[in-house]
Amino acid sequence: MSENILDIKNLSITYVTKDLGTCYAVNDVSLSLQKGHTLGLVGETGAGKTTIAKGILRLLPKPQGHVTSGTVLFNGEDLYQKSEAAMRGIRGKKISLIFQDPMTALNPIDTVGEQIAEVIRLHAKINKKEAALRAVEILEMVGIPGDRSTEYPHQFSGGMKQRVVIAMSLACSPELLIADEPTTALDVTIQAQVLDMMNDLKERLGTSMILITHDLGVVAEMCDEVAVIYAGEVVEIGTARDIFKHMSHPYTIGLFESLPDLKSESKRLKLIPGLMPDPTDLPKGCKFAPRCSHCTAECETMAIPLTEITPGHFCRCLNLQQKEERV
Amino acid sequence: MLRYLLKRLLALIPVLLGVAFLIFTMMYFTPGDPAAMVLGDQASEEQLNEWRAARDLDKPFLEQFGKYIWGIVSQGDFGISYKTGKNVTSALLERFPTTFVLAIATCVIAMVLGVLLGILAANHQGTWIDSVLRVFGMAGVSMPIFWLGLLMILWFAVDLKWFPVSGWYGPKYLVLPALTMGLTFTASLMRTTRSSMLDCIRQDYVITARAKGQKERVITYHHVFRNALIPIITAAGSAFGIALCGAVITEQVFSIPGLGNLMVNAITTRDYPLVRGSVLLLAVSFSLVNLLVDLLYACVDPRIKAQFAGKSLKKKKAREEATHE
Amino acid sequence: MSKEKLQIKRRSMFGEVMVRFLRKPIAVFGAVIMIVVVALCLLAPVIAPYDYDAQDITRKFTEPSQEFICGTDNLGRDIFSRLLYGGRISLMVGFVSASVAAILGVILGAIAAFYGKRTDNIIMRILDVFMALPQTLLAIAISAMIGTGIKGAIIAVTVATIPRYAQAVRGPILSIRNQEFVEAAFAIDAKDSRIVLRHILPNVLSPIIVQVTMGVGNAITMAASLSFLGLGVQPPYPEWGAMLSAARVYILDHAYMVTFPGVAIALVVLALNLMGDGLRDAMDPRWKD
Repeated sequence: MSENILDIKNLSITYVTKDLGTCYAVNDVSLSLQKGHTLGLVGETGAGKTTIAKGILRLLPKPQGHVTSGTVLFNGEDLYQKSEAAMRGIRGKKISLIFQDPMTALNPIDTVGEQIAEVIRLHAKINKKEAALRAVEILEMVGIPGDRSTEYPHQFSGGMKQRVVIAMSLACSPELLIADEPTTALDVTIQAQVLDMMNDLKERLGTSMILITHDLGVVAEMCDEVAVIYAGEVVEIGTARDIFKHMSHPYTIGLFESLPDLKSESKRLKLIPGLMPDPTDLPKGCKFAPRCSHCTAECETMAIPLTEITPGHFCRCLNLQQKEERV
Repeated sequence: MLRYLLKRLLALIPVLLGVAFLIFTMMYFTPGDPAAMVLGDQASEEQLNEWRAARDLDKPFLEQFGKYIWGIVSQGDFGISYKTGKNVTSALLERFPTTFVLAIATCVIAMVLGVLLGILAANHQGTWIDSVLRVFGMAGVSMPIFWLGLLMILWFAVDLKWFPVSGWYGPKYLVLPALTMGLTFTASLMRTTRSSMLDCIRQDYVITARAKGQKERVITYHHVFRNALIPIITAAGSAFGIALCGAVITEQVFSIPGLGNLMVNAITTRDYPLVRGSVLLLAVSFSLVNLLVDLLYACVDPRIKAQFAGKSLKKKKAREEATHE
Repeated sequence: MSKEKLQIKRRSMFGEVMVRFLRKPIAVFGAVIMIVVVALCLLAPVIAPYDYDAQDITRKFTEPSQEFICGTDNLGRDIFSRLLYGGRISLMVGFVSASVAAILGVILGAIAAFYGKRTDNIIMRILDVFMALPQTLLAIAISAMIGTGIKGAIIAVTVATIPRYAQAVRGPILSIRNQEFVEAAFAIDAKDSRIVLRHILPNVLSPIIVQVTMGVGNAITMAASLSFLGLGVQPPYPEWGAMLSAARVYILDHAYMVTFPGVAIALVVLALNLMGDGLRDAMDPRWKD
């Protein structure tokens, strides 16, 4: 097995609020990412994907967010053992983050050049002028004319803003890029452009990436490995091929069935009945049981382990085991 | 920018004319005959008529108003006081600096304390510091100024004898009145600062800054505070305006010979030219401060600046679309 | 099990707000103070140990004691009794002027925002004139015209505060007016009055309620300021501001005379502000910490 840039082990995160009580956002999640690879995190809105991303960078909202257990190893070092100052050295320099909504991710009162220069100046010992020049170069790298670096975010369109955000996050050539739904807020045509550009830059800079999305098409295009997240749990994880060709968890199957298929004749989309469980009051057994058509009595009571079906392909479902035993 | 300023100044003219008209009308229709009040019961009908004629009071309403406005516009003449027979303009100019100094002192206290305490509260949201400041803020905005002034006199002038009780004979006399108003505005400015800061702290760009590895102190001042400034400037500006006019009450409490004091005395003696003049002067200063506040917005927020500049924004948009294709 | 889980928890908007309001101890504290003060003032004829204008020169300037909880004033009148009766005037002035101003202001603001264009322009330009003066100054100028007394104070405070209410509702209504559900109402040819009352006003109700709650406190302070300057309620009526104004002269020797009316005003205004804050938090979940 080659070297892992990131190893998340048994990470659990809760939000505690006075009004809603304790919300179990992430439960016992383990993920690993090889150098140069792209890992896709797939799941519905509210499944805890963004929380995982913020958890890695220790950017959970204070005072509500708590990591209750687990470790995050980055190049073998536990990020949760580091001092706040050491973390600041890592954020933006070694691990950087792209937000879902480019409209709000940029500070409205600084020029885009200043905002890119800010991250450069924090991590490279260069003066203001050089940083500004670097910022212009980086802007051009993402396809924005350099003379626009003195303009403010409100003078850019959504797609352009996202390019700026991407430029900002790649400014210090990070080893790991966490992209949280980078294209969700964009038009479909712009989405493809931005994704292409990200792929291209990633190849050139040798960056590893975690791509958070609920769009399976994006996953197919970008990812080497995929983890399907449901109610704060990994329900299925494997290579992109495993997931796309041999999907095993009823939830993953449901996700794929709810996609429109151009080839097939059927007119109606299949959908997964019901809603995600309330994260303050999760079901005891399988989190998906209330919506699952194969649900048995055991599913509702027993904690379901993540089991390996084929090498490197794991799934959290009881019925599979039974299936295999039968075979 | 200059064009915008001119436009705003022009827009001010009808508003101030409106205020002048409003005040003039109110005084005109106030029951009671000023001539009889000034000259007393013994005055003959002839004397009364003569007095009225000398002040154009026998002319139709609109003519009176027109003459009044023309006097102000052409030579800064606010008329003649009924009571003293002196020029109102000189009385106003004599009193205005006192009120202005008081308002400035008030604002300096309020801005420094209010903003700092507000940032402190926002940064320690939910802790005991926040709670203590909240109680202080609530108490501060709930205290009527005149009562706080009286308490100040009781504590710092009567009991501790640190400052004089009342009057206006030097810097020492400024402390208590400025503190009285200053503390009230500190409380409200602190509340505005706190909530504005909290609004901005939750924004995505703050997390972006954190994700860049920026220090918390820089995030607070560079990213959060600068974005939170607009409501703070609004509050500070209106504090200054209200301080100018709130001086009416404070000046009564501390017997300070300012514009407010002049006005209240003029009201009780029905010296209408003096009342009109002081209200109008206060309205002008209040409006100018508000205009200044609007101009400050542009310095703080490029989006507002772009609106002032007007056309250039549209050009940029068009260019952007072109780059997009 | 899944069926039960999916059952929607239903509570009325009012109930929801009440529950959240009651969870805030500070806001409840404010509400309790208000209830106690209002009850005391309403029951003044029963509770008050003396009549508010019962003079007795022999007992003038009595320090607070068991017989006179808050002492007596320069004419030997019991300050506690005067506070109770004065509270009726202060509270009445506050509630009446705040609610009348709010109603008129909301109507004006709603008309301006709903009809827009010229109507909006005319109304807002007129209000601009009023807003070129700070509220207190405007109230002073108005009371200079209409004269002193309780009625004068109410009118002065009401007129001075109308523009703020109008301005406060205009912005939200403008933005709601352009939203799809209002356009939908236009599309089905609903009457203007129905659109305003049924679709628009309910959506701006919570800020209005908060504004009025705090507005009552503001109105009480303004009325007291007027009396303090000798323009509002006149002696012998024991309005709190008028009591303070009269007591000022004796501040050096009889500080208690100044203390109690001031405490009364500050306490009531504080209670109303606490309630307003709590209501805002309760009605707008975004504000919760």
